[in-house]
Parts: sequence; structure tokens; C-alpha cells
Amino acid sequence: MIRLNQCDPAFKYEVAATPGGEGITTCFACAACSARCLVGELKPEYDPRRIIRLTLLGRREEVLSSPLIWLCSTCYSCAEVCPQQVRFTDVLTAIKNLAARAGYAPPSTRATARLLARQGRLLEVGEFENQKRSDLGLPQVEGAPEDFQRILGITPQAEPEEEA
Amino acid sequence: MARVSLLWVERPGLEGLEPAAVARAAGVELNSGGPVEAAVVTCPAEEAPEPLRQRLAGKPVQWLELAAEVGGGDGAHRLARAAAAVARAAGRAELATLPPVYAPQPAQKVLVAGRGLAALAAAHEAALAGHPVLLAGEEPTRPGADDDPAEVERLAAGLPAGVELASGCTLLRLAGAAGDFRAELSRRGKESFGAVVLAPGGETVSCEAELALDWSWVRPLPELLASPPAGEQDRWLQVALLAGVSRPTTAGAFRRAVEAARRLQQGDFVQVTLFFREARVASEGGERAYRAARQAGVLAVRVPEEGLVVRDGGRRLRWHDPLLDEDLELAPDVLTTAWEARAARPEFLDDPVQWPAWEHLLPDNPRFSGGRTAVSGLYILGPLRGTPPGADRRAEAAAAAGDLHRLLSGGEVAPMPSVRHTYCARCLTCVRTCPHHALGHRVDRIQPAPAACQGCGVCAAECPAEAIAPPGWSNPELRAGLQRGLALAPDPKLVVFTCAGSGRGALDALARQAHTWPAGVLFYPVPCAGRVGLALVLKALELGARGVLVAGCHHGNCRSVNGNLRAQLRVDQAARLLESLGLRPEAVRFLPLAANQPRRLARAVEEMAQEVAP
Repeated sequence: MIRLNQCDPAFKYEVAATPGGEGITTCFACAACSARCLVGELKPEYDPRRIIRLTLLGRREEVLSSPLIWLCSTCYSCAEVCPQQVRFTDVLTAIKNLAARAGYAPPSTRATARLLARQGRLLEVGEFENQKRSDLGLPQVEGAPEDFQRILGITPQAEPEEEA
Repeated sequence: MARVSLLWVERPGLEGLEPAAVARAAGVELNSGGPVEAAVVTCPAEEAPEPLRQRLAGKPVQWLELAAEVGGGDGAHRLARAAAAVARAAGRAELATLPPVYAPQPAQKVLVAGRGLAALAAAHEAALAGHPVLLAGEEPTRPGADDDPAEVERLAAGLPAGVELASGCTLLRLAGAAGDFRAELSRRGKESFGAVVLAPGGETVSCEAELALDWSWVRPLPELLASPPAGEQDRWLQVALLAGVSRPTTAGAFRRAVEAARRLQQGDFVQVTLFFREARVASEGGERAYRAARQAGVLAVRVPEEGLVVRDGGRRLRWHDPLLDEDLELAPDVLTTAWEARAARPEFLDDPVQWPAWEHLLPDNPRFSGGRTAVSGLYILGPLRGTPPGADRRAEAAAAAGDLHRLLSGGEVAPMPSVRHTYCARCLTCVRTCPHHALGHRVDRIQPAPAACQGCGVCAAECPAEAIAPPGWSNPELRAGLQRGLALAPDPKLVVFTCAGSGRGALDALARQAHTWPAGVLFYPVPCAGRVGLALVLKALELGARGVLVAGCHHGNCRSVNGNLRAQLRVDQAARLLESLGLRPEAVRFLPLAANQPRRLARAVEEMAQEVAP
């Protein structure tokens, strides 16, 4: 049983005010996105329309804490078929940003952020790689973690080092 | 019997056919300019050259779209099919010598009964089309319940000269059909009209009168809009707006409810939940308004069939959300409902002897839009029909006026059916079955209304005494056509009756692709599948056909309300008869078809031809 009186009507506005989330309220629940979703085909619990509906109802905790929102492969199939220009992929990016801000980012995402912050790239380039590059006449590669630390500092992914 | 001549008009699709050879094979003479008694012409009437039409005026003529019935294929094949088709038409032309029926002139005056925008617009349009109009009602110029008063005032101020205004005068009783309505009006007595437009102004009522709501607690929507409520940051105000929960509301009422929901949602900390059974967005601006409301944050809840559980007079609402497969509950702080203009049905329409039942009068069928009803010449507009106010209502009135003008001016009117009174047993089968309400009975005889017949031929199919026929579509004519056509068609023979609304168009489309039909197929165009009837299906089998296919319109798409259902019923009846005789019931079939489904027709005919092949 969902009691609407205990839901948060402001949640949808919050999503709509986050970059990417503007289209959330136009959804009229036709399920074209769900029918087209490739992730949903492999994992039926992942249903774009359901996520939109719960967001519109104002089920803030349920949506933000759900592990399902991190499954999107950002293929934009849903955005392509949507008759109301909801752009669900972008809406979900907005929701994920809100979730990260609320501390719900999954460990893998946080680990990725930490890697970026530490070495400025996901693939670690060490002495071995640079030796090979110099053998081939290529310039040396050095990480530029400061840039990423700055970027990460202004995104919801903030304070990645905290848990490190 | 008249001697039939073939008049050859060269058409695309007839190339390579030798007119003399076709005439010889069909057993008719080829006319090369001499006098004509009866004729088969190889093109549709509307495409014949004017001199030819004048030459044939008043003579029995069968206009035959020969190219469609011949199809493609090799020379011998096409000659055989052309001969069978010409012979079929000749058989009918031979007998089409019934004396013309002199119909009385249809009455031209139009009665518009009601008030408001719908009534005034209809009176305007009918007067502009040249008909004298009587605009009758308690206060015909008062706006309808949901009309824009300024627009109504403007229309009322500029009524054309042909409109007679009868205030304080109501329609008490009505009988008849197009060209011959008899109306009884208070303070005026009995009068005759050619067409009648019913457009009552209606009253505003809540759409949810059927729900167990505590009406002392429910807030009227206009009052809420006048002083929009607000909530607080830590306690949002929950507003529930019911817009067609017990049954779908009209498109106009839905649009107004959606617009109201958007305005209420804009209040501080207000959450509006809009409940409805169907999102009725089919009105001007309806879809836009619905989208704007969602964008503003209105929560739309489509209540499923089981409906909304209302507790404590509406203080608690519970429903099942099929999207989430969960039960939802809302305890609204404010409950309101949509309001719609609803008009009561005039009492005289509830007379089952005089008028068809309401759902038959206004069938759920796209052919009966624009104010039209199943009764020729009777139009129902505005709140009584649920048409949204404004532009939709004006368009509906214009469409109705155009249609009544077409009927009364005789532009496209089918000639009156003729009744052989010596055969008629006054069983009233035709009166009951005429889908257009064109047949009435006066004292002891069947009398068609002068402008109401649409020429569908259902009466002729159902009359047990062969006493009635729309001109050109009597049983003897159709039988003679079948007999002569089938005599020439090679075995195995197959008869395909094609309805003018569907099968005929599909046949023409296939002819343009030079589709090759099996040799033994005889096409028989009829005005409506309902014209075929039981006797003709059996006659075709008796005359040597191995199969009969009746191609009619899809359900809910018949110009004659239910001619297609009637055809299906008769085909099923024939199949049962065949079965009881130990014969193949599959030899007779009904094919639901649309004019844009030529492949479906081709497949069905080929399938049947294969089955009946030896």
C-alpha cells in the first residue's frame, strides 16, 4: 500500500530542476520506453515507466536507494521512442546525480571516482607503459589528477576520497 | 423484356478486349449509334461522356466498371470474365424497367429545437444553405450550459432573414424521416419539416453524481478556482479532482477539468491528483491542455475498471495502480469533481415503436459523426451528444447543415424504393429493418419518406414477400444478373458480392494493379452487404456457384448502421442450412473488409477458389 499523503510532492520538481530531468512530468505512462528498453529485456525488474511513476508519486527514498537506477546502459532507445519527449536516459542521469548526492552511489561508481581523482584516468599508466611508449617514440603520459579533482569537487560525486 | 445493347466506352484496363467479341459472347448486341432500349455501359455513370448520358436518360441502364471485374491475365481469360460480367449486368438491365416512382417533393423547412451555440449555429448554417428555418425552444438565444455567452450573443444578434424565432415553444412529439417529419410544437400545433436538428442547451451537473460522495464536503470546482487554496512547505495540500471516474466524461468537460487542475496545481504547496477512467483529449486543444497540466505537476491517475473505492464520503480514496501493481491510497484535504453540460433526452425519443433505441440512433460508428444519426434527416448536436463547446460545436452544426442540405436538395438522393402493394402483407419487416428509418406506414400501406432512402437495399433483402425494392436492386433484377453471368462463367464458379463501401474500393484497387482473378469468379457489386440476404446466397448456389463470398464492412463501420452484421447473420444462416443438408457450410462466407484492404480480398477469393477446385 502506497499512501500518497506520505509521499513527497516536491521530489518530481527537484528531479525536473536537475539538469537532464526537465522532461519527467510530461510522461503519460504509455510504456513505449519499457517496451524498447534492452536492459529491461534482460532484467525485467528494470522498468523505466515504473521508475518514472514512482518519481511522479514522490517516492523519494524508494527511487534514490534503488539499485535498479544504476543499470541503465545509456543507449537512448527510450528517448528515441518516447512520444512525449521525456528523454528518460537524461532523466535517469538527473536521478542518479540526486542519488549520489544523497550517498546512494554504488561502490563501483565510487571506486571509479576515486581512480579518477587519484590518477586523472581510469587506466593506470605506470613506468612499464611509459617505457614502451618511449621505445615507440611516443610522448610520455602523466596523470593530471588536479583537473579531475576540481571537476569531481563540483559534481554530486563529491568527496570521493572520504571513504578511500 | 427489353433488348439490351452494349455501349463500349474505352477505359484504362480494357485494352486488348474486342467489344464485338465481348458482346457476342455475352449474348447482347453491340450498339454503334442506333436506338437503345436498355443498355450496359462499360464505365461508371459519373465518368460517362455527357452526350451519352443524355442519350440514355430515362432508359434502364447498367453502369458497369468493367475493368475492375475483368482483371488481368491472358486474352481468353479476360474475354471470358468480361462476357460473364457484361451478361450479369445485361440480366439486370433487361428487368430494370420498373416505372419510375414519383416521389412527393421533400419538405424544405428545417426545425432546430434547442438553445445555445449548437442550435444557433445550426440555424445559421441551414439558412445560409437556403432552407427556411424554425428555431424553436423555451429561450433559443440563451447560451447553453457551457457555452461562451459572448459568442452566443453575437450569433443571436446576427440571425439570417430565413430564420424564424419561436420562443416559449417546445417540441412535444416527432415522427417521420427526411423530407417528411411531422412535429407537434407547443403554442403552434402540428407542422411539417424536411429535417430536424435537436440541440438542447443542457444543464451543468457533476460528472460523478453516481459516486457515494459527501456532497456537503465536496467543493464545487468554480468556487475553488475563484479562491485557489494553498498548503504549507511541510504539509502539502492534497486536492483530488474526479473527472469521469464512474463513467468517462465528455471531451469538453475533461478539457475544462484538466485546465482547472493545472491552475490549482500552481498554488503554493498544492498537489492535485486528477482521477479519470479515460483521458478524453479529443477536443480542440484537449491534448495540449492535458500535457500542460502534467508539466505543471498534476498527478494523473487512470482508474481501472474496478474503479475507485470511496470511503467516508470521499475523505479516503483507494485504488489499484496497474502500472506498479500496488494499492494506492489518498486522503485528500480537498475533493472536487468535474462538471459537464448534460442534456436530458427528449421524452418522445424514448418511444420504442416510433424511434430506434438510443444506442442504435447514435451508433458508435465513424459514419455517424457530424451530428448525423441513424435516422435520415435527424441530427443531434451539442450537450445531448456530448460534443465539446466552442469550435467543435460550430463544426458539428456546419456538418449537419451540409448533410441535411444534400438530402433535401436531392443532390445525391437515391430514388425512392417502390412497394408492390398487392404483394405486401403489411408485416412491417421493412419498417423495422430499415437502418435509416426511411420507411413508415400510413394507415394500411408502407410509405417511404421522400428524401430518407439511402438505397442500401436492406429492406429488399429482408422482405419475405419480395414486395419492396430500391430501384435497380430488386430481387428479380439481381437474380436475372446472377443467372446470365453464372451461365457464362467457367467452372468452378464463385460469386463474390462486394459492398460499395468496402469490397468495391478493394476491387478497383486490384484492377489498377491488373490483378488476375481465377476464371470462374463473378463479382457482383451491391450497395451494401446487407442487400444480399438469404435468398440471393442460396440462389447463387442453386445456379451453379460452388461458393459465395459476401465482402462487407468491418464491425462498427457500416454506413447503414448494421447492414454488415445483417449480412453476416444471413450468411451464417445459409451455412447452417447447408450443413443440415449435408453440404459444405464453408461454401458460403462473410468477409469483413475495408476499401484499403485489397490484398485481404484477393487472398480470401483465391483461398475459396482453391477449395472449390475439383
